Amino acid sequence: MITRSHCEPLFGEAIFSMSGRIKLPRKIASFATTLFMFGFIFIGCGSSVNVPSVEESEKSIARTIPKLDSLDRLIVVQTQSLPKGFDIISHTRMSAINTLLNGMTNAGTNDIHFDFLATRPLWKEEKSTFGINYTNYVDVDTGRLDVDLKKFQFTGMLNNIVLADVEIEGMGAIRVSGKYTGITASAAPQVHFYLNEQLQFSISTADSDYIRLTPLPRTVMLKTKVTINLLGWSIPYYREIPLQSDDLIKPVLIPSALRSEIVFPLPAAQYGEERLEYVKRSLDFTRSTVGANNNVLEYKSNISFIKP
Amino acid sequence: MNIRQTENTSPRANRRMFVLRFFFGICILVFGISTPGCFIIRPIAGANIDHHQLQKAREARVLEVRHDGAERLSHRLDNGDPIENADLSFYFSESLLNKAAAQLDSVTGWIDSLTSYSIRSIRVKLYNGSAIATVSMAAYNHDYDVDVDLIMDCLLLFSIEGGKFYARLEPFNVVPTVKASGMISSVEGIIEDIVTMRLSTLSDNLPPIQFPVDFNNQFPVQANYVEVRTGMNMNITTPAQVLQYNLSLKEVLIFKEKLFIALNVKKAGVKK
Repeated sequence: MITRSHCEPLFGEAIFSMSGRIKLPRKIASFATTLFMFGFIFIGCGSSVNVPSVEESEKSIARTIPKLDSLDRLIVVQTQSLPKGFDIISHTRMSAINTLLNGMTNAGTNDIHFDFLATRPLWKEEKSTFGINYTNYVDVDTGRLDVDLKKFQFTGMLNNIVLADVEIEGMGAIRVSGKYTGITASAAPQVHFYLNEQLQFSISTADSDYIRLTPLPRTVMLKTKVTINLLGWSIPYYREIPLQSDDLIKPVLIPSALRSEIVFPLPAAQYGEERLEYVKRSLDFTRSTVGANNNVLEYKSNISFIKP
Repeated sequence: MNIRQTENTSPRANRRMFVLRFFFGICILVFGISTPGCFIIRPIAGANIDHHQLQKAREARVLEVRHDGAERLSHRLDNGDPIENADLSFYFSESLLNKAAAQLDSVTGWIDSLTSYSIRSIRVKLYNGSAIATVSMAAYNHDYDVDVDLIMDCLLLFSIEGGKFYARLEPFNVVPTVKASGMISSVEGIIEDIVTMRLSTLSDNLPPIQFPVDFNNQFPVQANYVEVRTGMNMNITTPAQVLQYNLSLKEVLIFKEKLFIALNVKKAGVKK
């Protein structure tokens, strides 16, 4: 055996046992033989021993430490403002989120669908001609149009409030019917929708995976314009339809890149082609906080691995 | 055989024992001369060397690695753009790295079909410019019944693969402590094999340390439905969309007790 515990007794015993009953010359002879043997092997194999001597190592350490300390001091000064105190801290620039949102707004022109239900009446007027009373009216029967989300951009992040500009615009046809001077008719007028508002979002941690931006309640106006022409009757219909911002826009979930469950690679317990096997590990996030300032979204959390 | 037994034998037996041991010594000597390799030194290099010497050598090597890293980091901080000039930046604590690395504690794997290893512990230290993991593990050759206890100092190399963020272990100090059973001559090759050859490819077999992040991400935009009953009756619906984006790794910097990574948005679009 050649462990430390075995190797030493193997040779040590040969020397030690000689020190017991045998005479000095023999002891010396035997010791010399052993010494020679060790010396020969050590000299012969000196080149393969890569461990430097204590003195060499100490010299190297003495040379390196002052240089390292000096570099460390410089780096500490340069990095003292970096955040700390949590297992993970992430900073997401507002411009990065806008790059993602641009991916959505630039994707197409059919972002929002408007389905028109029967509105009876959309417009009516009481008239009297030669003492005969009648009602002119227009009903909306049906219709559907797609509206483009032209802009959804975050414009500022300050004191944990995120500002965003939202602009939507769309035009299409709806089916209307009505009566004009007692005559029934129908038409397909153009309808035009437009909304351009600034919204405010509050921020919170939705869960480990996302940062939630929730729109603060506010009334926004959807400008609606329909030009109806029914049997020569021209009806300019213009209204600002009040909508609640938190109805119109659902919370925006900004991915934090963190995962509450990961598949962790471990070495395969049995030898085979697959060197790794994968096990699920759940993570517990604690002391999570999120903040928005200086156009940067900051997320902090501590993480624990939950062993199954 | 113990010493007391030897001491209690007769002078004649003692003389016989001496001759036997002398002969044994000569045999070892002849074997040593005829063997071009260092059948004793190699295991001794790991096991029987002066521990103080070994410790100093490790310390010196680790300091060298730290110094090289600190020099690179200092140069980076003096040159180039501010470190947070990136779309996304993450700071991971040394504590998190250790929690992730601890998932590998006590796991067993294989270097080859006959050699298994068991990781006792992995402890990570983050210095300015370098991340060094100390891995305590044991390799065991089942065929020859040879144990090699190891302490490895490894550099952590960070990479993003498939959106996942990994730290791979790259040993730069391998300190074996050999335990073996059987005859020296029979196990010498095995020990040499394990210590020198197989351990050199050990990093390929060690699992990476995975971080609990995924940078190959999706950005869900929730579906929405609003009923408008003022003026014109209508339902406004926004279909759910999934924005897909990829991030590119800008840089990884290692500071004392924290790891910094910077990423930029590479691609963003709606998932079709």
